[in-house]
Order: sequence, then C-alpha cells, then structure tokens
Amino acid sequence: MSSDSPTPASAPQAMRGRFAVEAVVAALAAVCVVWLGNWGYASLQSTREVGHRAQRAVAIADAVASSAGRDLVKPGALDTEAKRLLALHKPLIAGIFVTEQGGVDEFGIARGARIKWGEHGLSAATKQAIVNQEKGLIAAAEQAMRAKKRLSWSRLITGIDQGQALIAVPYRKSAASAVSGVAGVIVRATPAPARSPDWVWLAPLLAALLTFVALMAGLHVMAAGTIGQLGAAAMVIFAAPALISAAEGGVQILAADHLMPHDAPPVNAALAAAEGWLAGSLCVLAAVLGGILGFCAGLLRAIRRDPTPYAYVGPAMAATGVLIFVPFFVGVGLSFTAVDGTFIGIDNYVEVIRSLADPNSATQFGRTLVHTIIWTVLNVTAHVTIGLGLALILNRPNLRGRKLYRLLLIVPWAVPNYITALIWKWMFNTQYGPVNVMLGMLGVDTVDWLGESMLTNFLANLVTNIWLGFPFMMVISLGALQSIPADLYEAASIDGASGWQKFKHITVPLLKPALFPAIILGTIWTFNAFNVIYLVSGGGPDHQTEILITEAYYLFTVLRRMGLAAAYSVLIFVLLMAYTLITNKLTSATEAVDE
Amino acid sequence: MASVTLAGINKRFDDVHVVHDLDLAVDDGELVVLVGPSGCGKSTTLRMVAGLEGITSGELRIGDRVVNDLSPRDRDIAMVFQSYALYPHMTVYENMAFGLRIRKMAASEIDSRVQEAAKLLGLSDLLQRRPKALSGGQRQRVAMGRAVVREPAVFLFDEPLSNLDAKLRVAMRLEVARLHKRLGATIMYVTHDQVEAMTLADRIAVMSLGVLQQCASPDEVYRRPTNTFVATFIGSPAMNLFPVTSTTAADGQVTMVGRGIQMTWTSGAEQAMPGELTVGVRPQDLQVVAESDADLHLRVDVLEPLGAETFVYGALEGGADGATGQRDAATQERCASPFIVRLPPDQSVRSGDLLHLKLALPHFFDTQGERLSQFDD
Amino acid sequence: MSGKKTGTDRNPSQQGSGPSWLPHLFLVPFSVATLYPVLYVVKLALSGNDGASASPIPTSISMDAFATVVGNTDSHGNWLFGQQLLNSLVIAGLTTVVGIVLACTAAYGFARFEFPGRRVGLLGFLATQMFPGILTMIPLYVLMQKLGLLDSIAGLTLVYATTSIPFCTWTLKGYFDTLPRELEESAYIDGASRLTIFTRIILPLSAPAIAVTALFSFMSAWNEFVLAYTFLSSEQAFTLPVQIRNYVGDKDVQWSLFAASSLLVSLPVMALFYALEKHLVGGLTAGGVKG
Repeated sequence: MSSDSPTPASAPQAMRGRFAVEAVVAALAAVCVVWLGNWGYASLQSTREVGHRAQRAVAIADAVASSAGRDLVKPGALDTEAKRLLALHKPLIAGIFVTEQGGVDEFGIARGARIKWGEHGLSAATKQAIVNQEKGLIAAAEQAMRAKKRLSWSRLITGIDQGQALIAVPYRKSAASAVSGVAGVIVRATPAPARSPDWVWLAPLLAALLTFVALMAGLHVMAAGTIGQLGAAAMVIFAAPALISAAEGGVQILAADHLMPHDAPPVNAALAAAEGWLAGSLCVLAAVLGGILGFCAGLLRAIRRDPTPYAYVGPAMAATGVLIFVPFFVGVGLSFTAVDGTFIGIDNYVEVIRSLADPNSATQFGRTLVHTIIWTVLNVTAHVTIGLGLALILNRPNLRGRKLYRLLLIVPWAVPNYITALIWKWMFNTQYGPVNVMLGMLGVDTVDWLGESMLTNFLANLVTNIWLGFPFMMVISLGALQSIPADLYEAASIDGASGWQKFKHITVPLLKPALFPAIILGTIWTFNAFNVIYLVSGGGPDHQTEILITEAYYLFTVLRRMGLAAAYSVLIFVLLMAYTLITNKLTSATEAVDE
Repeated sequence: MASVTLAGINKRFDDVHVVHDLDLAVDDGELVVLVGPSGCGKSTTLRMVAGLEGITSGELRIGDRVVNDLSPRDRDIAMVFQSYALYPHMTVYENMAFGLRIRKMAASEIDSRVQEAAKLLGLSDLLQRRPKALSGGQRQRVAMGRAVVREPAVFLFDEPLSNLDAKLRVAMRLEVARLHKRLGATIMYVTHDQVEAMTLADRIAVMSLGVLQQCASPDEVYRRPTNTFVATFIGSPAMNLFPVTSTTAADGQVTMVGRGIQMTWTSGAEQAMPGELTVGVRPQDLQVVAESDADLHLRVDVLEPLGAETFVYGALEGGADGATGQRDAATQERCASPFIVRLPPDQSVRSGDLLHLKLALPHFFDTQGERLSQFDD
Repeated sequence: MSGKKTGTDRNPSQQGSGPSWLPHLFLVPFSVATLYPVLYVVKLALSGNDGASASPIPTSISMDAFATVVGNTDSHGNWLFGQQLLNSLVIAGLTTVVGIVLACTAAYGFARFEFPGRRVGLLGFLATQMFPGILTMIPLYVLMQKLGLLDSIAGLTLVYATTSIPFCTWTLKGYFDTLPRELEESAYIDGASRLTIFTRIILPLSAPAIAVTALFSFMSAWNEFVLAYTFLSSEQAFTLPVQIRNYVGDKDVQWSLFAASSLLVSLPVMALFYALEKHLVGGLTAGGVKG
C-alpha cells in the first residue's frame, strides 16, 4: 500500500506478536541491568568506605609519627596523645605503636624500644605478625639509614589478616636527622567490601550479550508491546544512575591509587571490589549504549519505511523532548546529587526518609506529606460536595435565573488563580481584611489569620482554594447532569422509583464517567496548588502549612538544595502517577489510548 | 470507461483473512453489484479497488493497467460513500469542483462540468448551499455529482443508499439506474440490500465470509443459486431448505424421504441422485393439495397476512424421519429455520392446522451445500 | 449534543419539590460569596484602602491607582508598565503561535497515522501533564542560565510554548478523531495529497477547535506566575503577573495598586474565559483526559 494512504497500516499489530519474545528478553535484560546496577552501587559504597577508613587511618598514623618525632624526648606527652587518638578512633584502630631506633649493635640488629597502646582483641598470632612486620620495617629503615639513602616509602600499608592492616610511618627527630623510628597504627577489620564474583571474567561476554539484546529490543521497542516498552524504560531509568555510579567509581579508584604509593601492597579487597565494579559498569554501559543505538536504528528504520507520520509528529516531539523530557530526566538525575553537584546515590532519598523519624530535621517530608494529603482530601471533598450540590440545584426544572447564577458561580474559575490567592491574602489581612471586619461586627476579636497559628493559616489557605476550585466541579457535574436523557427518569418514575432512588440509581452512575476524570484532575491540581500556599500563607508559620511542592520550591530557591528539591519532586511525581494509575484501574474512568 | 479485473485478490488484516482468492471481471460499461451480509468482505474489496486498502496478493487491473501499487488519485476512479463525505465547509459547487481544482483543471472547464452534472442530478438551484442545508436525498445527489464531474473510468459506490429512509431509497435507486444508463459508466456497487442488487445490477456478485459465491445475472442468481448460501440470501422470503434421503428406482423415479416429506421426482439426468441431499423450494412454489397428493406436511405456527398474499410459517411434521446423513454446518442451520409458504390471500388457514403441500421447481444441493446442477430442468 | 431531549428542558431528577424560593436560599449566598472578593477588589482599585470596612461598595471613585499602575516607570524613566505589558503580550502571543503550529501537526499525526512510537508518544505527552513543574524547573533554570536566557522573554517563551504543546495536542487530537475519515478518503480519491488534505480539509474544518485551543494556550501563558517569578529578575523583563505580585511584596504592600493592576490584567482574560468556557470544559474532559 502506498505510504500516505489515509488508512493506517495495520503492521504494528502484526508485529506485536512477533516481537513478544524480544519483549520478554528485553525485560529479562532489564532485570539483569537493574541487578548489576544495584550490585555495582553496593560495591561502590563499600569501596568508598574502605578508602575513607584508610584515609583516616593514614592521617592518624601521620599524627602519631609527628607526635613521636616531637615528643620522644618527653614520652609522657606521646603517651597522652596516643591514648587520646586511640579513644577517639576506637572503632577504627585496634592499636598504636611506636618503635624507637635504639641504635644498631655490632651485629647490625636493631635494638629498638617498643611502646604500644591498645592491641586489645587481637589474637596472639596477629600480634606476632605485627611484631614481625615491625622488625622488618625497622630493619629496612636501618638499612636505608646506613646506606645514607632515603627510604623509598613515606608510608607503608600492609594487610595483616582479615582486612586488618598495619600502617607504618617512619619519623625523624629533626628535619636533618635520619629515620629515628617507625610509628604505626593497626587498623581494625574493615567491613568486607563486596567481592567481585568469580565470574567477573564473564563480564565482557555478558556485556556483548546485553548489547545485542538491547540492540534488538531497541530496534523493535516501538513496535513491541507494552512489556517491551516497560522493559526498555526500566533499562534506561535504572541504568542511568548506575552509569553515573560507573563514572564515579572510576574516579574513586583513581583517588585510591593516588592515595597509596605505587609500590605499597594494595588494599586488595577494595581493588577487587572495584574490579567487579568496573565489570558491572561495563555491562550497564553496554546495555544502555545498545539500547540507545537500537532505539535510534529502529526509529530510523520506521522513518525510512514511512516518513510521513514522523514529519507531522516530529517537531512537537523534538521540542517537548528537549524542553520537557530532558529537563525531567536531568531533574531525576539531580535528585541523586549533593549540593556541590557530586553524585551521592540515593542519599537525598535516605535523608527524606530519615526525616520521617527526626522531628529536628531540616526537611519535614513526613509532616508535609501528611499535611498535603489532608489538604488535598479536604479540598477535593469540599469541591465535589459544593460543586455537585450547586449543580443539582441549578439543574432543577423551572429554576429562574439559572443562566445568571451559572455566570456568577464560575467567577472564581475565571479569575487567574495567582490573583485569587493575593485577593484572599487581602481578605485575611489582620488589620483591614474584610474577614476580620465582618467577624468584628459579629463581636469576634481580631484574628491574626496569617500570623503565628498554624490552624488559622491553614484555614485561610483552605478557604481560598475551596473558593477557586468548586466551580470546575460544578460545571462538570452540571454538564453531565444535563446530558442524562430525561426519558431515563421518566422510565424510572414509571417503574416506581422515588426521587432518592432515581438519584442513586440513575444520576450517580451516569455522573461517574464525567466526574471521576474531573476528580483525578482536581486532585492533581490541588496536590500541587503552589500558587495558593505560596501566596497566601507562604507555608508559614515555620513551614507548618507547607505542601510538598512549596517545600520543594523552598528547598530549591532558599536553601539552594537542588538535589533534595529534585528528590521531593520525583516523589511527588511517583505519588501522583501511582494515584492516577490506581484510580484509573479501579474506576476505568479514563479510556486507554487505543480507541 | 474501462473494465476492472480482479485476479486472485487476497486481503489479510493481521491474522484475519478477509478476502479469499477473489476473481471478478467487470466489463466496460457494466454495473456489478457486490452483495452479501455485513462482514463478508464486499466493502473491503471495493476499498481495494479504490486504493484505500492495500492488496495482500493478487492482481488488480483497471483497463489494461495493473494498478496494485498506484495511489487512488492515479487510478482514475471516483467513489460515493455511505456517509456521502461532503466537505462541510464548502458549498455544493465547491464540493463538486474540489477534485477538478486539485487536478488544476481550467476554471471554465470546471464550471461547465459542474453545471452539466448539476443539471443531470437536479442540483442546479442548490449549488451555493452548504451540505448542512441539504436534505438526505440532495446530499446523496451531490455525492454522486462529485463523482460524475470527474468523468472517471470507474465509479465505486459504497452502500450509497443505506442512510436514506425507505421511500427515498427507492427513488434514489431509480436515479442510480438512470445515471448508469445515461453515462454508460462502469460501476461497482456495494450493498447489503438484495432488492437494490436485483434491481440495479447487470450482474450480481454474492459474497460470504470473504469468498465470492456466485457472480451472474440477477435472474440466474435467483433461478440457479450455486449453493445453499446464495439460495437463502437472494429472494425474500428466503428459500426453504430441508434434508432428505433419496432412493433411485430402476425407471429413474426418485423417492425422497425426510421429516414430514414423502415425494417422488423424475430425474431427467443420466446419473443417479446421491442418497443424501438437501432440497430447496421457494415459498411461492408450493401449493395446498389433498393429503393424498401431498409431498410435504406442514404444521402451521404463525400467519402473516399481507393483503395480496399470506405467508405461513411452520414446521414439517410426520412421515419417516430420514436424512440423518451429515451435512455442512451452515446448511444444517439453514434447514433449521422456519418453513415458509406463500399462499393466496383467501385461504382459511389457522394456527395449528396441518397443511398438505405439493412443490414445484425444486433445487437440489449435495451434503456440502453445493448445487447439483445436473438435475436442473 | 444530540437532538434528543436532555435534562435541561424538563429533567425530573430533582422533582420540583419544595417551595420555588428554596433553591435561591442556597444559590444567593454562594453567588454573593463568589462575587464579594471580586467586588472588593474593584472597590480597592477605585477608593483605595480606606480602613476597615466590610462593604464592597466603592466609597469614592478615583482613577489614581490605575494611573499609577499604568504610568509605572523605573528610575531611568523607562515606561515599565508598557514594557511589561508588551512582554506579557509577546510571550503569550509567541507561545500560542509556536505551540499551536506544532500541536496541530502533531495532533493530526497522532489522530490519523498508525506508526511505531505512536502509543509511546501519546502516553509520554499525557505523562508530561503530571510532571511536577519544580522538577523540570530546576534543570531548565540551569539550562537557561547556561544559554544566557534566564532573564529574558525568549527563554520564557520557549518554556511556555513547549509546556503548552502536550495539552494542545491532546485536545486537538480529540477533535480530529471526531472528523469522519471518509472526508479524507474522498479527497484522497479526488486526487489530493496528504498535505492538501491537511491544509484544505482538516484545518478549515477544525478552525473553531483550533481557535479555542489557541486562546486557551494564550490564557495560560498570560496567567503563568511561578516560572516567570523564578526566571525573571529585572523589572524590564517582568511579565505583568510578576509585577502584580511585587505590589504586595514582603516589604512594601500597596493593596490599591495590586487591585488596579489585577483588574487591568484579569478583565481581558476573564472575558475570554467566559467566551470559551463551554469549549474549555469539553476539551478538558474529552480531549484532555479521555482521549
């Protein structure tokens, strides 16, 4: 059939079945990628933890060494310092020792004094191993000194067993003198880093496979059914943070490398994790690249087969893609970053969740969420009750002035809502506001509506939003009521139904299809009623009337915590999406895209 | 004008095979009506000829050109839609001129063609109106006028009269017939209304389930339906069908027995009749006789007096219960529908009576529902 | 609405029970409640803030507030009100034109073609309606900052136009879906190309729907506050909503100026709203949600 026939080609339906297998494979691949991503992320965390501990331990060793260099003359001071460090870093270090070079005897054997602190909880074997290490270190130091050579290391890190490490730092008594001794700390067993699985060598293979699958899935993603699309979407969504982690992991490994002198024995476990980590990242990268390539190829193929539809849809798609979807995904990406833009994984979300239990936290997600839900439920209930009630009254037969009433009652909808919010801010003005003036006439004392009371602020917001929201529900209800054929009511009357029964069995069921989408829409609007909250109460007092969206705005504009604000927004999106999908499933109120 | 030839045309939508191996030739100047129940593939066939649907396989020729891959604008056809498809934002004149303007025809030529077509269809006074201001019949005529001005090789009509009320439909039917006569045009005409088919067609193509059942003159289709589908689809009320078991005696006398049936038939043919067959008889080919002369016995259920005639509905009753042989499901179903007899109006028949009937002009079908044409008179 | 009788004429859903003044007992207070704040704004604009009073009837009539608002100039003597009015008009106008052109073609593509990616595209457009504005705002802020479009009309227009596309597309697609396909098939057989069909059949037929959608998109750009408030920082670049907000800023509250400028800004769009309201509801429920 010629390409620009008005009748749609039916090919995609035919393809749907054919690509079902690929869709399933794509979904499996997505699961793989998600798993790899998670594992990679966990590895990253422990790698980072290892590096972090190593860094701190080195710093402590340095401190001990410099202290030893200065204070060896006064052993008491060194003793105090060592004990202080040990107490301060108890979970990190098991012991501190200083070996003083006591000169070398004629046989060339070091006879240094050894002072030690701590060493509790170490096995005899471990202690022996440490002493042996020390001896070796001293010997090496002596040798270097005698040969008048500089030591090739300034710090030495050796693993002892099970992740316990010895960090040794040679010290001098003065800048001019040669090595006087070795100070060291025994680092406690670190949390075992996620070890790379034994099948790490399979990674390139897996990567190739994933690339292929992703390529195929991408090629047909647009023709494949919903499963395929979901698989691909999952792949992109989960792979993206993992990919960012991959880059981050590379940096981390470089940093570790930089930290450790080249000839020092590596922190094996950490490197192993990094190795597995890279393998995982490679797979993720392959999958993402394959997916993107495949998608582009599929799109190109479809465009080449029949460019007409894409010519019509393309410009709008491109514009929304660049200015809505890219910012959206960048926003999602931002939610994984810290204030300075570095990647911090899900820390922002962790912070959000922790704030649920911590009343002193800067963010009050839990409180605000509860408040937002109460806010939304109260508003929507009021909108529907008032709107439907007025619609039923307006729909009465022989009502005089129906048109005029309708005209007046939709005024709030016609006023731009930022102006509505500001008008009501005036209405609730403490000094001059008409609300207080009227209350005054009733003998009520002046109320500081937008002042220090959470309740009055909340009420002011609520009244404003109810005022501006009910006309929409009223108009929708009225339209739906008027489209109910009168003969249904006539038939029901003949069947002997009472007024209430007619309302229950005819009006309500026939209103539902119009009212449910309106309620969904109204809920989304109210949930995100930024203008009202921001302009009326401003979230005050002390953020108590904030809803999620205004709190996110506050985090963004005032605290400049973009990452946290983005995390808030993502959570809002997820909540609303879930709400819509669930409501839709429950009511089937809105029809699917397929007509 | 040109002929249209469909050779081995197939159409598949996904897994649904809509049109099977369709062979049909419409001669130059001929009016062929495609008729069949809804979903039989007749509209799809027409849309394939128009170029609105792709052809899965087979060859479509208009005149001498193979047009499978030509877009509609290059096929030199015009189509009249069931919904008329008049452009609401254009006047009648603009509607009729649209196709010509698109083709960059000179304005004077367009004008003369439109005026001529308007005269032909009695639309001259309505040219400046919008479709909204026209009656159903007038809209229908504008739709035809729009096709006429194009002077195409082939006219395609897709159920053009279905949206009209019964009275107007008769009038417009005549209009179409007149147009055909005046223009001598090649026309493919789709309808589900068998009266339209019978009255308009040079030839009728009966389709069912995507398969062409029979393509012949209206008379032929009526007199010699090729199978039980055509037999029951064409003619109103439908032909009665009943299963019988036959035995052929040495002298060529055939005895047929079934529920409520006991009849003999002298076959002119050489061969013996098959043992199991289905007999068809039109309601008007039955008459009431004495019990001893009767072939059939009918228990009357409902009467429909129509003034000029009376239709009697009932079920065959009594006699030996023969004809147990397997028949195809569709024929079996057709045999199960109520038996109908057309009687002169003055009969004093009442519900519950047992009528004794003699039949003339029987049609014989085999167990697969195919016509046994060797036993035709 | 079809010709069959509907509830408007004689709908016994609510039997005319009770006295005839009963409905008015409910309707009058609600009407007063909807009208009161608006009337009060008129009073504020005409009489200024004349102390605590509950009456919405102007005590004196003075055009001073309007004159101040319209004559608003900055320290260099630039006519700010004119500049800001122009900003609002240009932004809303460009938004409408760009948005509608792109939405029309896209809506037609979605309504009339079956192609790989159609479902994804449509659902994607629907999903954008659920994106919290803040989420896209943050990256857009950074993007506009990088492009140097932060405090400019161009940047805001770009953002408004794209955000209006999905809604306009859905609304128009809903309308295109109701146009009978036979019209296009007929034109197609008559020899029209796809583009001819689009421009000579579909667009003229959809003129009313396109007009309504365009005006709606104009209104939403005209009334947009948050993005403008966040992206614009210099008075020269403000749109009118931002200026209105600034009249009742945190330091300096001028209620009568707020009232006068609100009236100036919202009366035209309120008039538009009343003219379009019937279509708007249809678009929201049929096009926006149902598809």
